[in-house]
Amino acid sequence: MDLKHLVPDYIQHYQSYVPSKPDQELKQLYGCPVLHRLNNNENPLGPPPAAQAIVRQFPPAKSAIYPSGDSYFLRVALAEQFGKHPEQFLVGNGSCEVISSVLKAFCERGDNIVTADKTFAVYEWVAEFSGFDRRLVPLKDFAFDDEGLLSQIDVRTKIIFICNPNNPTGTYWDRDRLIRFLNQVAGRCIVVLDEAYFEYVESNDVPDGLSLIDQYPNLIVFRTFSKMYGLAGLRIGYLAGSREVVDLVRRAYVVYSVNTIAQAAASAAVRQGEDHVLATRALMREGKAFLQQALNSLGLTYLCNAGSYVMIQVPLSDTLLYRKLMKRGLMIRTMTGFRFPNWIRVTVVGVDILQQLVDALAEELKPYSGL
Amino acid sequence: MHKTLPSEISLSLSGDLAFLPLAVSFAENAGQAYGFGETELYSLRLCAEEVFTFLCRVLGTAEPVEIRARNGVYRLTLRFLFKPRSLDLRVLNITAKAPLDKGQDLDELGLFVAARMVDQLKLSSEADGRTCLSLAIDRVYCEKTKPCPDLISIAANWQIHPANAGEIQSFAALVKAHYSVVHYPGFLNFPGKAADLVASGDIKAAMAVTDSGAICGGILWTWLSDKMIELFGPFQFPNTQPPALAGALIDHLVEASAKTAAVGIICRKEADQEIPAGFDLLGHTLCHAHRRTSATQSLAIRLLREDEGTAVCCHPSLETFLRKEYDRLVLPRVLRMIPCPGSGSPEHSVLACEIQKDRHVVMLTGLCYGRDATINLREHVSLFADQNLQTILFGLDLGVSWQSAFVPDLIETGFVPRMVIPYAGRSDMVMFQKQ
Repeated sequence: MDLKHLVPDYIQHYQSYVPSKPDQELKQLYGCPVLHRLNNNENPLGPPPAAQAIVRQFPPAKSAIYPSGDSYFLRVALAEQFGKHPEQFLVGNGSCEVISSVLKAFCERGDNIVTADKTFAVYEWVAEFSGFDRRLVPLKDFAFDDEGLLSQIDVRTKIIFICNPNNPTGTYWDRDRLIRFLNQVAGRCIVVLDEAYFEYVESNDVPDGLSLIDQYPNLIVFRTFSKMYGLAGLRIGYLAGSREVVDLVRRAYVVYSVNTIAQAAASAAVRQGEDHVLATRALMREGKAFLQQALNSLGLTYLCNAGSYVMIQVPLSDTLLYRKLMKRGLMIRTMTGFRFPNWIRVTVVGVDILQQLVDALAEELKPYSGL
Repeated sequence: MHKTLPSEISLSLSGDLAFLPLAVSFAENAGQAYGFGETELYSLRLCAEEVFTFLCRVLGTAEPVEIRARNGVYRLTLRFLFKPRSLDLRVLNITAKAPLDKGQDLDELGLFVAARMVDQLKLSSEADGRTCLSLAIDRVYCEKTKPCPDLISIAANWQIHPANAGEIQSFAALVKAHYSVVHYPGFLNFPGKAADLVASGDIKAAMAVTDSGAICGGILWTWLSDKMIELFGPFQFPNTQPPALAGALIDHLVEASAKTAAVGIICRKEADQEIPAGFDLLGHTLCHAHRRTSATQSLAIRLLREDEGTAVCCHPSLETFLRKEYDRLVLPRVLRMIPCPGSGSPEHSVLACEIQKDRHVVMLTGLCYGRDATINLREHVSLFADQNLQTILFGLDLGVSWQSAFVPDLIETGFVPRMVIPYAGRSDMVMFQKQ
């Protein structure tokens, strides 16, 4: 049966994303007994202790009960933590779900979104498979180009996505630059500020998007519990904005999509996650300092900015290096898919594992660069 | 050409010789509507007549035949689609002759006659179970090139952008003036064809242009299949441009392909050319395209994705070769050993072939295995040798288990495995070449 006549053109031409195989499968195929995951920017410390306790103590009988449909208690916890109203938050099954809700709420056929060409791919993907035009602005000096983004806005532009800090380059706009940009947008479209890696930034100049949502009703801030709070396996993230904008997104939002354990663990992370944040930041500092020194010794170009990752330029194809490192039990992220050919992105983890990575790089790159 | 015309039109009819004038007229009128000249229309008429007659003879009157004419701007492709239900599949071998009526005495009936009239012939199986005989006729182009732009000195700055049809003509002139004929694709000899290829989207091109607007480099690419891209170049003017320009052109292509369905980019290079940085050598073939003596051509690949491994079918005779190649390419593969088919196989084999006249290359693939495979392969080799088609390749799809049965016959006939091309078929493909 030919189903193509039922399928919109933009779906027929969309290339679906194929996630990685499970670790067990990969270990078998690559013949490595251990696999260190340096590819997804997961927190090597796991979730904060309070969140771990929630997971451990979850009563099995509660699995039979539906969760709160709109993550009621978590929104209360977020409101208390950030001095906002619970109605200013919307929780989703990972921040990818809230990206989808925002697009559905604001875009219709013929509309477009604007973002960078080398950033978190999901903005582009969701726009594409939803049938909306996406306008991609090249990064400038590895950072979002504010002038370039503004130049792409037209009457059909509904959303601008800014990843701050940017994944994978780690660059970010400071507060002044963001405010200047928001003023120039002047409410013509929604500005989404994706702060998935916000908690990793220690500099004072990084803008806190949540502090701006009351001043800019067209600003929506995304945050996630997958990175700093180590709850990637539970899939939970949220958006925040003015009550008006959140109410609009809520209309295109699927309720009951966030499970009970995720809501409870995230609430615990919000209320009792401070030490965990400090410990993770210390680990990042140590890991980045180690990597910088090692990469300098190897003579490699790299980007070590904000975020929990480092991007490294390599003298062979990133996809070949991926395979070579996989055989050694080290899983990195190739950057060809981010339109950075021959770069890899490495999650910063403990120095013991980073040392294995550096040793492997030294050996594998020797034939290519005379190391 | 009328821009509002659909790019493909079709005609459905039954395989009855009574409809021969209709089939011929369809092909001719399609070519006329799409703006092809008298020379191409003549080939179209003959080709449609030959193929439709052939199909009527082998299919029987009740069987439906669909003819599709596709306008590719620079070429017109006629595709004949049919279900070989009651067909003795042997007649689909290009070496076969159609059964004749009593009293007839024709030595040459069959697909090879049609193959002589066209620029490309391809026989393949479609996903819907139909067989497709595809014949392409290229528009006739003038070889006259635009005046070659002056060479610039070493470029310090350049911008890379998608090429338009006008730029491609200047680019073709530069390539022709500064590169040996074996180092660039034949269509660049015909600037009008190159421009039409770009306009049709069959060839994509990006140019590196200096601040003063001079072309200092470029790269071309095309989709070989829904998963594989082939690149031509990168070209630099003058050749002494810094390697960064070549790297930037390749990066441009990789970035442009990164979020598409492509899993890899392949490139062919002559023995005196370097494999581009970031590409992995797959192997070599001996080619006879531009010269009487043979020369080595390399094939290299740049995979675009993180390889997560797969299982491939392996005949025991290929095990050592495959393990060595997969180890060299660092590709995780599980070899599923396929036993020899034994006497239960059908009697007759069928081979599909793709003849690329401009490259003097024949690519064979198995459509159906049979106990006569060795003889069938020999007959094909003999036919191609008679036509001076000396580069004879056989693609064995490691994702299709029954194809492994061809391995002993290929070896027996003098084919040797040259390389494994990842993801070139349903899974990886082993490329054999007749010695």
